[in-house]
Amino acid sequence: MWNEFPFSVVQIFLDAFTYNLAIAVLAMAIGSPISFLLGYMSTLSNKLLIFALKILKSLFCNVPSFVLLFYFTLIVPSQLDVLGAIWFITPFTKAVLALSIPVIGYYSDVFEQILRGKTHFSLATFKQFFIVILMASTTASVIGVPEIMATANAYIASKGDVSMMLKVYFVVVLIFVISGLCIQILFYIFNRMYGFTFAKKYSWNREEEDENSATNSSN
Amino acid sequence: MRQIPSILWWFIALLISTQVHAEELLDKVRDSGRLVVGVKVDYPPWGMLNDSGGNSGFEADLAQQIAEAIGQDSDEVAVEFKTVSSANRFRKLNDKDVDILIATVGDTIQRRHQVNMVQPHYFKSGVQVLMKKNSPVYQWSDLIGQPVCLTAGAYFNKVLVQSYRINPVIMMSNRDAELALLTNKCVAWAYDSGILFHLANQPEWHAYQLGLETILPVYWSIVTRNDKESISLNHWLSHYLQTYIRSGGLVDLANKWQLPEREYLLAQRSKWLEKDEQGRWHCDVGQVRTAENRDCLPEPLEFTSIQYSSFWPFDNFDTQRLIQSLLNTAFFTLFAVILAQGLAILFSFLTLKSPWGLGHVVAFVTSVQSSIPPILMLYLVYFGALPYLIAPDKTHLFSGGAVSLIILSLYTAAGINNLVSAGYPAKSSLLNLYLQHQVGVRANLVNLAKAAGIASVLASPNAVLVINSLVSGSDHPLLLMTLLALFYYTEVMLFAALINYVVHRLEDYLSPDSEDILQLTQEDA
Repeated sequence: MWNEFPFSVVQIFLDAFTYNLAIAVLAMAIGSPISFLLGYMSTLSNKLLIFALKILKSLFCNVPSFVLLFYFTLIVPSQLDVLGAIWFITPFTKAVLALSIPVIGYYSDVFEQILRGKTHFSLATFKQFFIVILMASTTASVIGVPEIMATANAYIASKGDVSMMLKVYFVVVLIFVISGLCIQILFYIFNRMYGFTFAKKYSWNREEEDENSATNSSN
Repeated sequence: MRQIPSILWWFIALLISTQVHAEELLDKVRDSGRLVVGVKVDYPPWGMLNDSGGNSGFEADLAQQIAEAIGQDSDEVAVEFKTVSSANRFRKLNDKDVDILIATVGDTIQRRHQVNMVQPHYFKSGVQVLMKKNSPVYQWSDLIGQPVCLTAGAYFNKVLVQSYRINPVIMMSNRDAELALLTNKCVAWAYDSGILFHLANQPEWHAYQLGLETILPVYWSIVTRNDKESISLNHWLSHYLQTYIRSGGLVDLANKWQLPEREYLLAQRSKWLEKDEQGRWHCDVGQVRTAENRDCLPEPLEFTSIQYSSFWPFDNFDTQRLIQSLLNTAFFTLFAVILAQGLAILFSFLTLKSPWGLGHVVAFVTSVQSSIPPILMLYLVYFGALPYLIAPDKTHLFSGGAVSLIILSLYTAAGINNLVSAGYPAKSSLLNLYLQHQVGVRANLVNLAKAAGIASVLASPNAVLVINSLVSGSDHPLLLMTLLALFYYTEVMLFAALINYVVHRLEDYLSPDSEDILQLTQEDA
C-alpha cells in the first residue's frame, strides 16, 4: 500500500508544519503579555474600566477564532502605509492575530485570578493551551497560509489522485500525534529540571485543574 | 477677511497644478522610461513566473508590447512588473503603486465605480464546468438538480443556483473544490473558464474535461485609474488596442499561449476590420455608440442585484439564504451538543465499566483523537475515508454537514471522556463523575458551539460559509463580518446559558449524594 508513496513529500509537510509551530508560538507570545496587562487592569478600582474590560474579555472568549480568521482576512487591509513605510499584513500575520485573541480571552482571566491571589500559575494549563492553539493553527489553511493542512491538500489536488489522500492525511495525523507527544515530553523535562524553582518563585501550581479542559478545542 | 482672497488664490493654484499634473501620466511614463504594470503570477498562462523567477504569460507579453509601443514615440520605455492579486489589485492601482493593471480584470458595472476599464476588451472568459470525461452531461440543463461544486465568493454562483438550478456544493477554496470533484462530492465544478482551462490541460487531470458551452461572459480590460491624470494614457491604450486587434497581434499572442476562447478574438478582429460603404470603420474607439456598433464595445454585465437605495443591502434570495444559514448554524450546534453528550456518556461507560481491557482501548483511542486537529479529522473522513467506504457514485449522498456533525461531536465526546475517566476512583458512579467534572464537561460543550463554524470547510451551509459568500459581492464587508462575529458571540453565550441551565436542572432532579461528590473531589485533590 505504501510502496508508491513518495516519502520525500514528508519533508515538505514538516517544513509546512513550522508555520503551525510559528503561529502557535507567536499567538502565545503576543497573547500572553496583553492578557497579563488586561488582567492587571481588571484588578484596578476604576469601575468603568472594569466594565469595559469585562465586555472585551467576554468578546475575546466567546467569538470563535475560526470566525476571527475571516474577520481579519476580510477587514484588515493587506498592506498599510505607516509614515511612508509599507507594511504588508500577510495571511500568516492575520492568523497569528486571530489566534492570539482566544489566548488573551482565556489568560486575562487567569492572570486576574493570579493577581488577586485566588489561583496559581499552572504550567500544565499553559502546555495544554499551547497544544490547542497548535491544533487550531490548521484552520489558517482556509485563509491561504501555507501551513501543513493547506500544503497537504494542495499536494493531493495537484496530483489529482484520490488513492493518495488517505496516506497523505495519515502522515499529517502522525506528525500531529508525534509533535503532541514531544511537547508533553518537553514540558515534563522542563518540569523535572526547573519545576521546583519555578513553582517556588511564581507560586506555580503543578496540579492539573478541571478547568484546564476549558482550553480544549477553544477555537 | 483679508485672508479670503489669498485662500482663493491658493485653491486656484492647486486646481491648476492638479490639472497640469492630471495630464501627465502618459508623459511621465515617456519621460521616466518606465511603465509600472500590475500583473498576476497565479493565473497561468495569463500571468505567472517563469523558471528564472521573471514574469511571463499572455498578459506580461501584452504589457511588453504596450511599453515598446509607447517607447516608439519617444525614448525606450521599460516595463516594471508588480505582482497583484484579485484582492489588492484595485487598491494598488488607486494607491498609484502601479500605472496600469493587466491582471485578468473582468469588466463589470460595479468595478467601473472603482476604476476605469480601457476599451476595447482584450479577452473574454466565462463560466465553465470541469467534469469527468465520461460524464453524461452535455448541456447546462443536464445539471439541473445535480450536485455541482462551487467556490465560495465567485460572483456567478448566485446566477447558477437561481437560473441554472444546480444543487450547489459550496467549498471554501479552489483547492477544496478540486478535492471535492476528485472524490465525487459533485458531478462537476463550475468556475471561471480560464482557471478550469488551465487545470484541464494539466497531465494530472487528464481524466477530466471542459464539457459545456461557456456562459455568463465577462470581457477583460486593461485598467487605469479613474482620475484626470490617467485620461491621456487611457485614450492612448484604447487606440493602441484597436490597432493591435486589427493587425492580428492579439490573436497571434493568444495563439502563442494556446489560450481558449480564440474564436472570440478572431470574431472580434473581423468585426474591427469591417468597413461600411463610405469606407468608415464599423468599430472605432472614437465613435458614438449606436445600435449598429454596440457589439464592438459590449456593455459590462451585472451579476448582482444589490439595491443601493434600500437600507437592506440584499435581495430576497440572499436574505433567505442568510436567515437559513443562521438557523442551520443554531440547529447544527444544538444537535452536535446533544450528540456529543450522548457519545461522551457511551465512551465513559465503555472506558470505565467494560471488561477485558476494552476500556483501555477506548481511552487510548479518545486520547489520540484529542490530539488530532478537528479540521484535519474533517478532511480525513470526508475526502480521505469516505471514498473507500462508499461506492464512488454514492459519496455525494453523505453531506459535509452530516460528516461535520459526527466528527465534531466525536471530538468533543473524546475530550469529555478523557477528562471524566482520568484518574477516576474505582467505586464512583458515572453520574457522580460527571457531576464532579461538570465545569470541564460544560466547557467542552461550549467549545463545541464555538467550533461548529469549522463545518463550513465541508460545504455545510452555515453562517460562516454563507456570509463569506455574501461579503465578496457586497459593499458592506465590515457590517457583514461584524454581524457574523456578533451572531457567533450571541450563539455561544446562549448555548453556554442553556447548557448551564440543563446541568443545574439535572443536578437538582437527580440530587446525588453530596457527601460522595465531596469525597471524590477531596480524593482528586
